[in-house]
Amino acid sequence: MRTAELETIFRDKLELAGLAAALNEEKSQFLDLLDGFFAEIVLNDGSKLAVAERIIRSVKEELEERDVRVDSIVRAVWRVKEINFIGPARGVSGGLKAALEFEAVLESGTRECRVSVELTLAALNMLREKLALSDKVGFPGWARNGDVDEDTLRKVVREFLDFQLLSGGTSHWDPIRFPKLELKEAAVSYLMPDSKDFKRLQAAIDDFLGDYAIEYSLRDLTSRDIRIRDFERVLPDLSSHLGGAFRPGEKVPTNALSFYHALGEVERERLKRHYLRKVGQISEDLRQKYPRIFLD
Amino acid sequence: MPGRQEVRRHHRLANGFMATALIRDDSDEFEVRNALSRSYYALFHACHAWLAMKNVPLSRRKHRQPLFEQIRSRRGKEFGDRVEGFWLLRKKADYDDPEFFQGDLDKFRLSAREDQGRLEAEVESYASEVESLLEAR
Repeated sequence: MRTAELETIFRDKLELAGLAAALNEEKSQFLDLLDGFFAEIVLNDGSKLAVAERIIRSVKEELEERDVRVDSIVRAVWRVKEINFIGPARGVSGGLKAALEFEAVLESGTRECRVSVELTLAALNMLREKLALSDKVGFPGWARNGDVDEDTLRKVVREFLDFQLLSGGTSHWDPIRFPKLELKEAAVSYLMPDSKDFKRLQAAIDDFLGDYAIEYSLRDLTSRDIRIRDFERVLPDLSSHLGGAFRPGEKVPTNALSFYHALGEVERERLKRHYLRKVGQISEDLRQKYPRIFLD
Repeated sequence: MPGRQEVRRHHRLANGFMATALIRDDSDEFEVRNALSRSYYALFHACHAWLAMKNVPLSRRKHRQPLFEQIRSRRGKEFGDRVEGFWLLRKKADYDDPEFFQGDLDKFRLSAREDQGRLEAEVESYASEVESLLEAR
């Protein structure tokens, strides 16, 4: 049997059941995976899922009798309708969890379903980091004032759900069968990526104060009488640690100061904090060896 | 079954190719072509890392077309179509297609940067899942 023939059989049955109009042509597919066929039936209306599943099951049984093996998925296209903030998440026993709970309403044609998203405290801390709310990092709860605001949290949850709903095939997310999701740090990193310049400068700081270069860096700052906590004055020194894929004479900015000034305000502040945190981790031995640069 | 080492190896290559495939303001035609070609291979390795993470044996994704079909069946038609579209772009970058570069270097750099931006976003969509798996283990 060829894929086209298989596709015709499925399509005819769906059409007979009046489901042709609900079929999403762009996302539905029929493949020959060498060890068997794969059919993904995608509907624009979630209320038709049960009928479509029944039909596909019966077609598969018929084909199996002819020794034709088909793996299949029947799913619907969902979209996020609304997101509501519920409050601190609670476990089954009613105890507080280190997470915030949101409820989302998804819709697919005439069908709606509700899902719960738990945004973990670690993810909240990463959001605080990214939004330069450093004084709140590590705070065990969430505050309505002075913390990441509710609209931003809802926006992040919405983007997270949109991303979950993007995938099809065997790794698609079925919100009816799996109505609970956890939004962790990795998702925040993906949804709110750092800029390339930020990453470059962060790597340069790590290199400048890393095991290999730190002794030289401290000696050099001492010789020029620059205080190590004076980030703006240390910044130009990071240029020689930018490394990587740049070559002499190229037109993109290659000095750390240009990169730094090209960053947004939030990333500039985050970078400075990253630098000062690294400075705070310098060993006592080195502090005693180069005491002058550690004076305020 | 593919192991964590294979996932790591492909993930490393994807990151390395993407990070070094630069199109600069003064890049010449061949640097732009190379950057697009390397960017496609970053995606190629990102797909392999992701499929290895899903325990798809190498024998089922070793060749180009089966790789695209595996992405389609496991991540959806649109993802598979996009990888195949980027492969076509890579082909144009590597071979002599008169339509691809018509002599205007500024225009060429600009459109190549747009393509590369889309490629980078695609690589990132695979890499983010792979990274969370590697960190979790």
